[in-house]
Amino acid sequence: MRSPRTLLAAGVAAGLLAGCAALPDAPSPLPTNYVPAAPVADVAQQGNLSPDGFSQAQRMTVRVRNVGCDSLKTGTGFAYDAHTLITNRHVVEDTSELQVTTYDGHTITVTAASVAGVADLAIITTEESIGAGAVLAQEDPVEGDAITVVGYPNGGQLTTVSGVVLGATGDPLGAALGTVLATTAPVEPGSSGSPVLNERGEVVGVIYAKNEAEQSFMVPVSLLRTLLDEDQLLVPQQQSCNPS
Amino acid sequence: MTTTPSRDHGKISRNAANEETTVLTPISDGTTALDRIPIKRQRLWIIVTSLLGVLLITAGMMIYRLVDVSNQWETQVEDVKAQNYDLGERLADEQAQVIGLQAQVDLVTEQLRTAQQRVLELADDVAQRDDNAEFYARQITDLTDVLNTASAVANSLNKCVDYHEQLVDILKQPDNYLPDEVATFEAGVTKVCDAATAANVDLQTVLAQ
Repeated sequence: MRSPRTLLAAGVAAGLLAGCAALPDAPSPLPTNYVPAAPVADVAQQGNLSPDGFSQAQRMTVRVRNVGCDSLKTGTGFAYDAHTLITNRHVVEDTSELQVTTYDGHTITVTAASVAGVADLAIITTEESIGAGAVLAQEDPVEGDAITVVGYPNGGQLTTVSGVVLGATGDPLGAALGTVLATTAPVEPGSSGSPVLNERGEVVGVIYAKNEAEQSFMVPVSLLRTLLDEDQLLVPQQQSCNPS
Repeated sequence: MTTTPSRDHGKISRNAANEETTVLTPISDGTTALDRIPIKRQRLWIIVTSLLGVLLITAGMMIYRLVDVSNQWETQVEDVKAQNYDLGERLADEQAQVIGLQAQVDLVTEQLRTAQQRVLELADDVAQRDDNAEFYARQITDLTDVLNTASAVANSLNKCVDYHEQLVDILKQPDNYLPDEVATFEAGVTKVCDAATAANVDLQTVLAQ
């Protein structure tokens, strides 16, 4: 058995060691550079802006001029892919020549047009590439959804307006099978064929009519998808005037 | 160190005030005070003294160490303070640059917006011009059609006049022509003139539109 003195000595030694351990350390060397590494540029924040500052929605939207047999009228369309445009049937009907211009005034040569019997929709094919096309939404919008309409009201400047979806309703013109969607987005003659975009920039419908209550109507994207998936629903549109 | 007085060896005297005073006289028996301390206690004293010495040395070393560390911290605090002032100045410079660049970005953004609006206006101007060109081309086509019609009507009316003049000449010389021939010619003139008149009426109607 250890003597009390040994224990005392051991205790004192342990106390000394503990005391030494509790001593503060000397400061570590200061860093030579306090500047953090340069942050990586977040390309995703650039959104859908193009190098010229116009949005993808503006770039894909075109102005359609229908040089008709007895009239001259204008409408709107948008690119589905590099050589395919979507617009309304009544925009391309009774035509002798279709002329398409882009947001910056560039003229696109039209090669053919086809119209749908089940809805006020038409497909225009072009000789030159229009650029990146629209992204179609997977589902139709529902009541209360915010929308944006890009088009050429009254054949004037490219204009962007917004509104909300009021809900599904029957076609006021009786031209489409199934239901269409009413919106609060203000449109004018010439806006026909305008793409309707949701908040993600996806196309959810195509404007084709308005009523006296300033409500606009659009063909839902589901019907547009059906039309694009089934070619037999499209009828080639003759671009010549039949003598009558 | 204390000693215990012994009544056997001490002297006691009294003063006038009847007070008693004790005087202690050291006893010298040939030994030191340390010799009279037991050995065990001596060792204890040595150990304690040694420990106190070690503690004193250790405390001195710790004090020296603490002073050294404190000096190092003080030096580093001064360095950090200097670097903070430097960083502060650089930050102020960068902020001034950021403000200047932001102003430039705002200006360029405004210029871009203006340029975009101008592009849209020019595109619209081109579109309106082309619309007008198509409209005027249609007008020219329509006017050309009207002009051709008017020319044809004028020709018909001229023929009518010519035929009428020929008919007048024939009627002035009735002996030179058979009555049936005159009647047939007159019917032909009437037919041509009726057709010219009808075409002229149609032309006037078109022009009125």
